[in-house]
Amino acid sequence: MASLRRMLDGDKLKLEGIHFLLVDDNPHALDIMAQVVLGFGVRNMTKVDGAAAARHAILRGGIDIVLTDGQMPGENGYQLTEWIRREAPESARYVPIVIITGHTPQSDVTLGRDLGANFTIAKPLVPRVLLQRLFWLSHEDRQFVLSDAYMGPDRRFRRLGPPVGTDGRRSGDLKGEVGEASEPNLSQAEIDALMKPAKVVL
Amino acid sequence: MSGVTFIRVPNKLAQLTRGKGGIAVGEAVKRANAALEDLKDASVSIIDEQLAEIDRLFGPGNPDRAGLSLEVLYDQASKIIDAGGGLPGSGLEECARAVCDLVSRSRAHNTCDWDAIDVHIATLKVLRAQGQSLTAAQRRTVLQGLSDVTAKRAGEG
Repeated sequence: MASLRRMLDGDKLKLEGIHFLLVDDNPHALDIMAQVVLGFGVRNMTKVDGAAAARHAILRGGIDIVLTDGQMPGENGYQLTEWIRREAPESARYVPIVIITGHTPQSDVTLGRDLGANFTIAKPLVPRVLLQRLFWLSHEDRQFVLSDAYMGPDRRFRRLGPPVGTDGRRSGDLKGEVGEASEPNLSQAEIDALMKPAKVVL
Repeated sequence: MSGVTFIRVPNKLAQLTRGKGGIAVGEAVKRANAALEDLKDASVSIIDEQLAEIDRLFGPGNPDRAGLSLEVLYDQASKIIDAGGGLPGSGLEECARAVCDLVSRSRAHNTCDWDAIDVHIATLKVLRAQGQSLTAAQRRTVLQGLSDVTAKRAGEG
């Protein structure tokens, strides 16, 4: 999918017009986040130390993207994500959300995804990793899904088939294992012949 | 709400970021890394403070450690991960992440494996002292050993 292509050093991004909301209860981690986005050329940012202050900032309006710590005392970044997707004003409900978290067990990554976060990335924050996500977000073409069970960007990124070792749940899913060949390999000449369509008389 | 609705939301980020101008990705990353250098000393100080606190509170030298909440240890390890960029290539953040895993497991099983905690604290100290001078393979061996010990202890539990 084009939106997930790896960014190149020569690709350009113009972030100075984007208003970032940075959320982290740890002041040093918040400073790290701010330094990184400043380095990217960001000029508009609101830094807050928790989910409650983040909600106020969102209600004031004008936020284009949220970068939030996952684990915070009291209301955490996952709950903030859920609030944004389900209860924030319409104008803010579809804002991209990136959860940045120190301890990232798979269960938390899945939780973030299922609550509607666009991406989860692990601390310590690495500029290139964050910028790659911003690059993907700027090329995002996923639809938004609204349902009782889920509100957020379509979780299906790519159609790669079922996980290895499983049979898949869709009728068209093929097994991951190819198995033993049932016929002899094609010779190189036969392969070449497949690449060179011959003129045939029909 | 009943059923599922798919909507295509205009990508405001795309509209704002893909016009003329802007800076090249390579340059943005370089500037961000340079900006982070300003925080490096503070990061190292935080790592050292948290390591000292972890050792003081949860190390074998504290006879009262059993009465402490492991959530404090989790919080301290999280702060090391947050600041881990201050000592790149030391392996400290991976080890701190293993501490968080250990506390999570203790939380889930309502147990407390002090031997495993001691091993993790000792590894944190080794990596702080020598982590950056180890080769990647040596660091991997240290962290793998830690992971093996923890897995073995979990299996015994």
